[in-house]
Amino acid sequence: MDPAQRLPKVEICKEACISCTACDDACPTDVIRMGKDGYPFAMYEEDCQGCFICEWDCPVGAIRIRVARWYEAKP
Amino acid sequence: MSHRTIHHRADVLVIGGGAAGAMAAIRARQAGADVLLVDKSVFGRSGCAALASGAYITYMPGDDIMVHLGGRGVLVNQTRAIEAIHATHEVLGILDGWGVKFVKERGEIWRGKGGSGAAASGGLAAGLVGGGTAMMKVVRGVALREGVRALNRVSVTDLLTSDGRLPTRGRVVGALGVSGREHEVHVCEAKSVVMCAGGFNFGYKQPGQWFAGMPLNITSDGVAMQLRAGAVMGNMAVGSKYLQTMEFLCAPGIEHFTTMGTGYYNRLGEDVMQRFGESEAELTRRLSLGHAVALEMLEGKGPVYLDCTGLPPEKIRLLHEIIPIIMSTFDAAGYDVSRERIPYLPVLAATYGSSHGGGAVVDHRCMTSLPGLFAAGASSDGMNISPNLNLSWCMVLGWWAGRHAADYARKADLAGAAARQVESLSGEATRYLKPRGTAFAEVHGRAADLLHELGVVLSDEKIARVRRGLAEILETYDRVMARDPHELVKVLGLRNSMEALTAVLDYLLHRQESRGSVVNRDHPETDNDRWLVLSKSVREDGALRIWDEPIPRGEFYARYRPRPGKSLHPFFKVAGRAVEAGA
Repeated sequence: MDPAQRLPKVEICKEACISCTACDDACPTDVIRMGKDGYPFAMYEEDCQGCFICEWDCPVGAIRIRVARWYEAKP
Repeated sequence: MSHRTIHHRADVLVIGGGAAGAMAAIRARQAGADVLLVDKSVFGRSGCAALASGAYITYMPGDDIMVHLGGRGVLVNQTRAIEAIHATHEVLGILDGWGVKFVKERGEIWRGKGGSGAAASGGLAAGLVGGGTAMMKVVRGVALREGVRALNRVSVTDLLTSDGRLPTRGRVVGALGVSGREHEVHVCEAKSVVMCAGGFNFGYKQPGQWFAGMPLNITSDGVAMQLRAGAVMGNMAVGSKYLQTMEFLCAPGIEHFTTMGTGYYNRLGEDVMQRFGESEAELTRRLSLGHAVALEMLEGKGPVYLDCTGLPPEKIRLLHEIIPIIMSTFDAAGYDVSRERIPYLPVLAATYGSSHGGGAVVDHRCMTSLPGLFAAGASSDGMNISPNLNLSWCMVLGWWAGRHAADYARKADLAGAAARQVESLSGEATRYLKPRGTAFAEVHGRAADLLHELGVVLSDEKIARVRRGLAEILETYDRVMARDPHELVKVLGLRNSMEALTAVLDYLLHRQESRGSVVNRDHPETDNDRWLVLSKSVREDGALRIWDEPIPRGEFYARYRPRPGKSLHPFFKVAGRAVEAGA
């Protein structure tokens, strides 16, 4: 897997989002910004540490952190 | 791009909004001070605390104090340690009263069990439901209700001093910072300052780097600022190796897996802790586990797997409650921990530094050698008490520091910052914002390669080589470019990481022994005759001058007698050919 793909990914569901800025306010590493369309987006996704705080603070479940499972060896 | 300068004033300025900073701010506010808390992230969502496992190590009335302190071999002011141990229970009661949710059993706060030294492995921890994340949400709420003013997304870059100099011979009168979002410089003047931004992690990451640890933006800012201000620092070599999943970035609270009865097995199915002897296998401190996993890797028997498959469902549920981040990570990646093993690698050298060890030397009031500057949590040397899990110590030290900082502020005047110092520090902080220069990724990669060179087993030559490499990077650091305020905070943080790490390396060269997470093939023995000392230092003319002082010995010392003489570090007892092979 491409090393870049190993890092956490931020997924935002605009259909569910209520533009409350909770995720923007919560992110410890300041990944998220509110876009001109009024919805949040991951402006600095490379700094996402996959801590889930945005996911937990979102009141409507509109944001998800995706974590890759890339290590293939099995015991 | 020109910067707008914004001025703030307060009785007490708290730098950092983790566990120590939150407690300091609340206590100072309750003592009547006007408190401003500045956070480079978001108050209550930053620092180690908000990502910490829900392990609150606590004293309970009736405990034998030896259970909390025994068997550490850690260099610590024992009188203060005993006071702090008792205070963990007081702070536990305060948190419970605020509505912080602890795991309870028949209405009583549940606590793990363990023998001598078990506190270091989480055995004597009460469980915070929802981990540090949930706790910090409650604590932040209390602080804001009490009237603490929070300034978020502002990264403090340096202390302001009464003589306008760094290092200073005067007192600390505030701090200057930059916004991570806007082109703004923030000047915060205060009667006293509490430094709570010392956690060390080699910050940030690049794709493919597998040793970035969480939190990613903890870059030892407080330690670096105090070094530059000329504060006396202590025991900077007391660090900790960190254990990290190979696949994921986070592992807060990994030792809970072992205290709950899980195991770590190599590719051949062998229990990796067995080689470290029964007592270590039972305690499974984070650093021992780090060493054990590293050894397996060096011997080609990796990866090591975390095995929870034998755990009953109620234990798995408890893990979800107290270490939600890592359990959520496993869930998100599609692991079923009750059926599958999870591959692990140690994160080599990720937390070499102050996170779990040294910092500014503080007295019983948590005041540093610089008048007006208090320090708590990982910014202070008070964390030497606990080499591993230290949430409760952070909170105790913050609680103490807040009270004394408020007392100090009551008697002090608002001296104000010198305009010339504001101008020069403002220029220094923002000079990296430019259209051309060395990319952050490039300089980060060079620094990361150096850290990786340190590896598991140190040698004097290796330490000196890495130190030289860091010095070379720092000499030309002016060339580094930040494209925007967000990247500026990263650039400043990386510089702080390297400055703090340089001090740690100076200490490693000074101590000439192996102790705890420090294993040096040139000095493989723990030497209690020569090195049971507090090593203090101060930066003078750009170099760190280190000297040793006896550890203050209270009545406890009569019972806890460190074995005199030298003894081979446990790592070398079992390492054998792996060390010969290079590590």
